[in-house]
Amino acid sequence: MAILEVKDVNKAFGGLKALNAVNLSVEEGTVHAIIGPNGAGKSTLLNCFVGRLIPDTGSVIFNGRSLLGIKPHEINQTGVARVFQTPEIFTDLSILENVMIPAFAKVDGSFRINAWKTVGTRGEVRDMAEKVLEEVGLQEKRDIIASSLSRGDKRRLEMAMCLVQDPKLLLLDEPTAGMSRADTNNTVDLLQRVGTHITKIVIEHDMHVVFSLADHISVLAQGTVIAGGKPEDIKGNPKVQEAYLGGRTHECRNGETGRNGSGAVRGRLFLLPGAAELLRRELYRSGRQLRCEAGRDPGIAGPERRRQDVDAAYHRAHGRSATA
Amino acid sequence: MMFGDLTRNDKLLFLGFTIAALAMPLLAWPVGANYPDLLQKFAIYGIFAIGFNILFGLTGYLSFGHAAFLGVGSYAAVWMFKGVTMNVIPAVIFGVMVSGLFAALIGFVSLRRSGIYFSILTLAFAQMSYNLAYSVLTPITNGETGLQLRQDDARILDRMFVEQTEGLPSTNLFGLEMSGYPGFYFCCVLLIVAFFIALRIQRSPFGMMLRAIKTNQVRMNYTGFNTRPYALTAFIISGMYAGLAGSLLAVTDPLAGAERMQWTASGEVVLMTILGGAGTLVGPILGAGLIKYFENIFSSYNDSLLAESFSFLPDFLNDALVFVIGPFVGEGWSLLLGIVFMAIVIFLPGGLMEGLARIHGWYRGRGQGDAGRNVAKQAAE
Repeated sequence: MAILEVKDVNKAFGGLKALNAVNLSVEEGTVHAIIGPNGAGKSTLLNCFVGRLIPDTGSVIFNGRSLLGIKPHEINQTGVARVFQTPEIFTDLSILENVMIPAFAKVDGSFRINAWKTVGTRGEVRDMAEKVLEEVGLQEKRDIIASSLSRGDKRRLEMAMCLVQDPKLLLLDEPTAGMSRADTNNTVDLLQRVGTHITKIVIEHDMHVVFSLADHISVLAQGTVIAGGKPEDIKGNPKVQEAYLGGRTHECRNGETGRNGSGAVRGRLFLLPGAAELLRRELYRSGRQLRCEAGRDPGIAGPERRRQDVDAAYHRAHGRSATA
Repeated sequence: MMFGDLTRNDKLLFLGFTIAALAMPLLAWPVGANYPDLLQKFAIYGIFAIGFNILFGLTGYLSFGHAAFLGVGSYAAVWMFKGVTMNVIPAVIFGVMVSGLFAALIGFVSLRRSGIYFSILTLAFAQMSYNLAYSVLTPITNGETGLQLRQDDARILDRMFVEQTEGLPSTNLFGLEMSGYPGFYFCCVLLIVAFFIALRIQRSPFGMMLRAIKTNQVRMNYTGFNTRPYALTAFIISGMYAGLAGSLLAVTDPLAGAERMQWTASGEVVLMTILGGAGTLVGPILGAGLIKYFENIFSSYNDSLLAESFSFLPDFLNDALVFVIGPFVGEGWSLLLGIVFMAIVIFLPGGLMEGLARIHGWYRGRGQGDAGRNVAKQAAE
């Protein structure tokens, strides 16, 4: 059964059509990944689900109820929780308080004045929070102020804040962006372990994450869903390869050869989403300098993240080594 | 039920505060501030600052118009004295209710914006109230003269039950005159009650939501909270505290003037709260007490008094000192306050409470480094 049904959603910002007749159907209990090049409209689409943006036309039906024109807090109360691209947490409060607050939203609703009894009398809410903290592995840090957490822990905390509400639908906007390899693996592991019954929509650039988590993948390009299906179908889909590899974006200046995600050699070197960042991160980690024309990303195709691959691809593209 | 669910630290805090408040005449004796008129001011402005802190320190909304509620509380209380009875209980209740209603009205409009726009809106409303009280609403506020008691006021209840005397009647608590120490202790008990309520609010789930709103309003919305009614409730509570302070000003001196609503009065409570430590329970009261105390000392000085106190020095030194210090006392006391305020904001952003915590941390943390300091900071909060 479809828990979220998106029909003919259009959204334009001025003359720019960010979403163009998007149709999407998310099955209950599945992990649905949305991938696509930068600027494809992924975040815009997510914003239409949580009430941050209102589509110009079309409909978004969640659990038989339209989400359009409803305020963010009301949407949350119907069972939709969201993890943001940059963690939105209560930085001045303790970890435990951070998780107790969403638990209060779940138990007490969107507005209730409990100004007389202390927080300490609400043991049931505390128990909910402690349980989730234990699941995500933050129970040891429960009394620390949230601003002092590492980036990975902040993400984990935000995840806990969503999980404590036991939502019907969890939206994850690039849950591993900017994370180290180890943190990324932890996150994937966490998502596979916790809240398995929760339907999830994941926007992600890291193909490794996408293919480990997703039951279903929708590919968005230039505001339209160009393909959708099981991961193995998407991998071999020529349309997807075209969107990723034949696109106008991220063309390398001197690119002549390159490799795509499945390892096939293509005529030119293009950038898969996240690859530029990956390359930069790899080079940064190895402590080497990157030489490249100003304003241009050196490109690499595919989800490879081994430094040799990066170096080899760069060498093929530029005729010289990426590292000095 | 009243105390049972508070932590041991909070019980101690409340006990310590109660004792300190009741013993204020003794505590203020060494600094020569142990006369009722000044002590009343400490208590009253303490209440004002506690209330302001609920909105600013806890919820993160900086209101620049809180004096409006102080003024409304005063006017309402004086009207109660004039119309019904000189007993202070109805006047205080009426003052709190009217300013609560007024706060609901202003808060409803102002809270549509946040940040600087909210501050400007509240400032505009307060300035509007001031001008209304000063001229337009003269029948209610008696304009620039201010609202005063008169011999021929109605005082319905008093005329029925109490024998009328020659001269103006005085405010009383069932016959006990509210001037001097009785007046102070009346304010003091209300200060303790106000502190207790603020403590309970701060430790309640509601208080936790207010702190969360201050930290990250976006997350609150996406977490399923309707933040505006929370902020509005905080605004109303804060306005009622200001109304309580305003009606107590009328209790200790039954007249109300428009100048009480001026923007300088609104600014003063901001200074008190930040000086003491926004977001802490005790800080704002400390700030209020200090500002009122030093205002009392420095604003009464003038050049000739200064010259007198430095008379032991040679003439040229005396003249030089008077020349340098003169602009900062008397009328110029706010200049001194401004400098102190700047210093606090730059060097002690957490106010005096942060200063105390640092001293405490330094004392406890010698040899323990940062850990001890953090512990002390938490203890102070």
